[in-house]
Amino acid sequence: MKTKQINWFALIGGILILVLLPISIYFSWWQLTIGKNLLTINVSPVNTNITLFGTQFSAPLIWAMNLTGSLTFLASGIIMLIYALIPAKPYSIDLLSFAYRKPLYIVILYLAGLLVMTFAAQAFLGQGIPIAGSANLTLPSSMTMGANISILVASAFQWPFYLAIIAAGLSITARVYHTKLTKTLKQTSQEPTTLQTIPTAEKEIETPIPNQTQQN
Amino acid sequence: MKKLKLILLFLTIAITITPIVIEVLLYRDNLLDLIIPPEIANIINNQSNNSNEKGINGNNLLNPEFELPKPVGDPQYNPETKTVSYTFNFTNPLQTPLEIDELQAGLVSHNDGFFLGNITINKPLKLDPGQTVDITALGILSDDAINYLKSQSATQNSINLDFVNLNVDLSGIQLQLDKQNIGNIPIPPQILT
Repeated sequence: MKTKQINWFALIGGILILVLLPISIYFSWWQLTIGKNLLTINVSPVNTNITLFGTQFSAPLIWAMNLTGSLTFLASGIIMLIYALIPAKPYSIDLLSFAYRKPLYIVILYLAGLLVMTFAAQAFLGQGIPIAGSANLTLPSSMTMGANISILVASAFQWPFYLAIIAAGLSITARVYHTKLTKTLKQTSQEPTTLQTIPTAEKEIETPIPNQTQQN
Repeated sequence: MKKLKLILLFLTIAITITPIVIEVLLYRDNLLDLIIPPEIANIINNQSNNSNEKGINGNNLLNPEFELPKPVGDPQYNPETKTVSYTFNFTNPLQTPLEIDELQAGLVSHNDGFFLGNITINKPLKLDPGQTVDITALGILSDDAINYLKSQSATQNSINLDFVNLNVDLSGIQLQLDKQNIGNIPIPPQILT
């Protein structure tokens, strides 16, 4: 296999997607902490859990969505790698089309989910929860039986989220590079054909000469 | 090529839908359990079952073993420093450490609102999961407060007290209460001497 025939962006992107999968199981993309670790919400597309007073749990629907996320990452990574090694095959574009969009979709859906969650929290509590940063959240008096309760809320995107953005970026770059790569490969494959026509042309030119001689 | 496209399309649909469909089928009898974690559902159920019976003092919102701090013996008074101390025993029922960074309040008589002084904890506390500690609240009594307690002790050996402007910082949660009754507290015999 010639190294020129490899889509390097897809190769690195595919490896990164496959590496991101186990990383995202153990390290969340976004973390929300209420108080001093009294309530911690870890969210990633492959593992979401809530730890309330040291007890960890997750909703079955979220678990199913995380499984979808995991399988999507796995399929996208594997197919991206297969494509990266054979980008010039006629069916390669189908493989790429399947694989390159998925990390981007996951990042977009993930951000949309976070926004919906924070808006829902705002509607419920009457105050916004920061997507990134910290704030003192004052609970409505209707919830606190007359007491004033303010809670320190801190949230932050974690490093795997930025790794996912890089993976999504590499996947898109792989798609852009595919067009350039196929053009280059076409040109390269056409070059030997042009060279082969030279002796054929020479033969065609040379051939009439003996005929002419014979005629003469 | 068309075949491959179809296979990949089928794969996308299968990956996206199958886990959710399986979960929906598993929880088809009670779809609410699909969204709400069983642990949260248990908490909500316990709360609704016990809310009428237990009230704030029997709050078992998260752990059936949760108990409010219990007083250890009677309040002590040091006449030299005019300091009263009252020790409470508290067990952290949670599976996460608890930090009490601040606890301060004014102390007033429940019957007539007479201000006795301020109490506070002498140092921040950290309780590991399941750990039991003695929390000692300290307060300096003014001469007026001592005289008031002496006059009260003529008719009773305990006094009904309220916390006013109670401020508690518990693991990043700041609780402020304007007034909270803490019940009858024995008058330290050292005050009478």
